[in-house]
Amino acid sequence: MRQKFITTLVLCALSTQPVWAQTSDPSDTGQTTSSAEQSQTEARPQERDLTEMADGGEEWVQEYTSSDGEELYQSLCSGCHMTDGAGAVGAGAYPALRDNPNLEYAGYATYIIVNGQKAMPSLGHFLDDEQVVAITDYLQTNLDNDYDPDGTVEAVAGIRPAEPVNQNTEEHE
Amino acid sequence: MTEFTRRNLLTMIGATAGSTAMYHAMTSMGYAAPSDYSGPIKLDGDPQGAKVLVLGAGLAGLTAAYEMRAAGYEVEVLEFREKVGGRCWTLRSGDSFTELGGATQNVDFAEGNYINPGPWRLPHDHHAVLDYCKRLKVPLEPFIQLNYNSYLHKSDAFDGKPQRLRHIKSDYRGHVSELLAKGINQGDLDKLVSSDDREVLIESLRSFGALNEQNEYVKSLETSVYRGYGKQPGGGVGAEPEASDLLDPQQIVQSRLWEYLATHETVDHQAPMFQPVGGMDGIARGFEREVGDLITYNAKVVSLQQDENGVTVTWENTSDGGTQTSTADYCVCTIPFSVLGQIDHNLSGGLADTISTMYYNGSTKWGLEFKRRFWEEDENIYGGISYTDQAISQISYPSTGYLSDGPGVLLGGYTWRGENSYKFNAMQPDERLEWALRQGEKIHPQYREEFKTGVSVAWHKVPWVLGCSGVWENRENYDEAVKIDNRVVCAGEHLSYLPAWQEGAILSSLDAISRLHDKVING
Repeated sequence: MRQKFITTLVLCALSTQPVWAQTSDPSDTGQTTSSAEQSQTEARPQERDLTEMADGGEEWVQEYTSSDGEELYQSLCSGCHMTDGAGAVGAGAYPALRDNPNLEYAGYATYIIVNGQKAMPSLGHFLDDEQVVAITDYLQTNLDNDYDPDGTVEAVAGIRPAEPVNQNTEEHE
Repeated sequence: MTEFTRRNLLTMIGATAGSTAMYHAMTSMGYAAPSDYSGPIKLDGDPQGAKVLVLGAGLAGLTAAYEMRAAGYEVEVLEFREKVGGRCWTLRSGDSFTELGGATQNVDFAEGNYINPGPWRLPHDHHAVLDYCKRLKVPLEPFIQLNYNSYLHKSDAFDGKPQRLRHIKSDYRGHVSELLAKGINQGDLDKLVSSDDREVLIESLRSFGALNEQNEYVKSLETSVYRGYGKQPGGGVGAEPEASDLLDPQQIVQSRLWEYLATHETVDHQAPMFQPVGGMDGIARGFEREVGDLITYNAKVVSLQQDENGVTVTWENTSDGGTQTSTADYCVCTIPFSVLGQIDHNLSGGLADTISTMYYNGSTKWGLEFKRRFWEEDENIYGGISYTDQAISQISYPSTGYLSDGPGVLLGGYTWRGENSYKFNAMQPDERLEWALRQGEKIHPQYREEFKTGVSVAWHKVPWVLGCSGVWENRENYDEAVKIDNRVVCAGEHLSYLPAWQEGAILSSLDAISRLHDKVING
């Protein structure tokens, strides 16, 4: 009974008939910027630098839209494998991609990018085939690697799992 | 009408029917069971001097060390870091944090200010962690999760202007109640609502949504009681209150700002929530007072081997470079699988499979210190969280030190998984900070003027865990992974149904050591 009632409530709420009592102008946001007392604290160097950086005015893009291998590497992979591909060592390690013989053929990197490996999450659910190839091309020809890039969109498509997992689903704290 | 997913349905139920309905709905759908804790663990029986090696001094390891010593075991704890707590961690003035890649951030907060880069709030129904706070004498204070005066913001809603949660919540509820009451009154719902229920249901909607006698949600002092006044009631001359204008119902629905209302209604976020006074690591320090003497710090485990005689762990002393060996009869291993997967071990079966396949998600948090508490002084926001569809996701105001002069620290952003987490992870701290300011100033224009200093933690770059929390894609191997493997049992948030919560770490540990103890005593 309770379940049914809730469902009813929800469904009713969504059958949008134009029966609102009142259509008022949106009020202001209530956001006051009352005259703030001037702080005594001097601007610190960090703040000055950041304010200068802010003048760039670049807009945030939520997704990975680039098809450029270097840009994708530096804005995604480099977080763990580092800008120069050197990897990093803590309690565990992120493997170096620099001068890495596993990159002679694109297949190995392609599989890992799409499906993940060990603690590395899969990235295939938000990178398209072209983007994956752009990354393997970059890896095979940069970061002290000098191989003939052999990745193809067909190979990426073939490696994708039949039922890809969206990793952004589980609840969290 | 779009088809409902379970999640959307729950969101809508939470937003429309409120927390109680949400809870019942969630329970009936198999979510939201309260945590499985019925008081302090009892490990009866004499372990006769058996030795346990605990790997990791986060909350799972600390719980194991504390309880097993009390039960009569000889306990040795190895910890990679230089301090206790693991992800139960607080950054405060004078601390420095070096992330993978080498960038070091020196925390320049004013004395007493802090940020919790990991867990930051304790739900009222996480009975185990609350009980340990009580037993370890860790003082708690309320954590403000829901603040009606905080902002909800989406870049393309209301011309990008943040809206007070109170306005969205009151008006959404009122307009929806009106819609429903009229539908009932017009007999549109006769098949669903019996005549016995009709009158009382409408009466309840008038109460729920602040509707008038005509079942309308209109600008009035009665609705202003909920959404706030145009002019506040005062005293003396000219004190009469004025009603506030309502937001346009279609605009509210289309804004999708209602999406942010449901989080507060989930059982793990319902008031009251708590936080340790002075920082989350108060819990770690509470354990340290009890078992600090058992812990060897700066110990990097490189090998975990077991045979019929015992457990042998080889570790490097990262402060002097030496290699040492510890042996024990049993081992409770709380090393995150992101790290354990790289350690030479001879664990077996489903546990070994899980260790080598569990991935760790990304997450980013910022602590931003401002010269003054402008959110309190200018905007009357005392604690709570503003939500935005920008990459930073949320801004949380400190639940302590209200109305004090001087600098205050707020949580300048909290990403969870997803592409934004990867992007922030790939940045250097300065760039990360700049984006937090750039996005935060869309909510609070005072940001640039008032900014003092900041620190950020991108969890994939945290050297001792390589991620935020362990993720199960499915739990096929779960039952195998939590089993005792001969002499070793693993524990931690990653081996619980409360991932990323400290409660999960503690419950996992309590379950692991009670089974291990049973094996020791009863064979």
